[in-house]
Amino acid sequence: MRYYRCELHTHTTLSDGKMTPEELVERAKECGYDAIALTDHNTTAGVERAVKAGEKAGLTVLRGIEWTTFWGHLTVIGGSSDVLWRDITPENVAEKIKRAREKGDIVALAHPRRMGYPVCSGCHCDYDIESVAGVNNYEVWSHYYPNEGVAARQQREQWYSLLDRGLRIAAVYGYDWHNRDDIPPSYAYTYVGAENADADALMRGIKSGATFITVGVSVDCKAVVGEKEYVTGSVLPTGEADIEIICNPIKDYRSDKPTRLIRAELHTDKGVVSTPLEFGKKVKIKTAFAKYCTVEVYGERKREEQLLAITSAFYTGGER
Amino acid sequence: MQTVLEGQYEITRKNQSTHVRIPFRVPEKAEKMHISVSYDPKYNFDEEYGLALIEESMLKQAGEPLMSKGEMRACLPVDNHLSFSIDSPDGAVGTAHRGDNRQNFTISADDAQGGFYPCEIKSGDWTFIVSVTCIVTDTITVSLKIEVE
Repeated sequence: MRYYRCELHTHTTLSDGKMTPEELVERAKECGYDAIALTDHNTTAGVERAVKAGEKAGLTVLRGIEWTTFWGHLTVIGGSSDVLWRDITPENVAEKIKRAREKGDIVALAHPRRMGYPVCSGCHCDYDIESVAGVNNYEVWSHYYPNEGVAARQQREQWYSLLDRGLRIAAVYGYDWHNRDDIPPSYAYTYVGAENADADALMRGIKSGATFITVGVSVDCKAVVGEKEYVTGSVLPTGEADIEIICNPIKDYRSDKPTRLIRAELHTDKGVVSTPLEFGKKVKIKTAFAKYCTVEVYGERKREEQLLAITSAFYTGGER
Repeated sequence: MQTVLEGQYEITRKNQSTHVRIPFRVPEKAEKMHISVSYDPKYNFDEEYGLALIEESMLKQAGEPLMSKGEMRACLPVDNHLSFSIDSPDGAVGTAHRGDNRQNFTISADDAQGGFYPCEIKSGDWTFIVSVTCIVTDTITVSLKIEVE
């Protein structure tokens, strides 16, 4: 298994994006992505064009849509769902998410704490969190300046509150890519662990929770229990594990690059443990958790300490 | 070319977060549908109103300031946002979700633009749907013309 650079939230001229499907694919390839999901607002009209362009360019394109409802946005990836966005209401959204997942699709809560009406109406999640808690993924970071500001903090807090309740929801980033962005503002990547970069393998990787989000550092981490090693998203036989972490700079990251690492933190339902971290040096931390354990990487970027990366969780025990 | 629907429709604040359905009928032997839709006004240029609306909504949604005053000011003028869908006798033909308040589409069995899917222009009952994503003025007037050939 290796980690593939993916962008799971993109738009084209078939909704309100500025690039055609072909231009988006070309740009994604230039920017070093292994895969993108095309998630135009309430339409899949551009998907086949993007898939075809991706086949030509050597870029995997996952079929998707963004349910752009009045009360919140959800990206749905896989192309199997038969849910019509206009039928979704606060009363039935849980059922629609379940329906899409049963069909084999992946559902993510998109930019849930972004400003909604009247700036970006529908962007803020007005759904009761319980009714959307059945998603696979949560955009812990989104759009520009993903690890900064109030919305980023609130999204991270809300995601952890869901993990605290025993839910197994993977962390993803959503660029919400609308423009060409030749000089990109601060942005992040979602990396997905998979056997290869084919659509089916990436879908399996995302569903399994083998993801991390980052502003410029790679995070190679595993949990070791006895002789066995596990990737994030795995359910460990026990919460007593050694977490091994090694981080390196992502050389072609196009925004402000992290200049040094400071520490790794393990966030668990039992609390936070931290250890100093340097580029290229493996650290091992003992942990004991009852529900989940994520890894957060802190370092210096833009001349200040920043949260640089968050992994999805290792789990143990029964799911809620 | 035959006009199958032409009219103006008033959207009010009561329509926020609703789908307004406008039925129309397509005759036999049509192969192409041309849709021309626009709405006005697009913007509410009242800065005082816009800033107050943003601040009130922000505090309601986030419980704390998400944006500085300067960032809020950069969001002005606040604007109306409608998206458009079409249902044929066979079901959904797609949705056009974008900010422009003047949009034109042609749909046929071979081609479609703007978020719609190619489909046969079957005779029968069709519906044009205006989804009111955001209204920041007392009213919005939607002008719609649908022709077939």
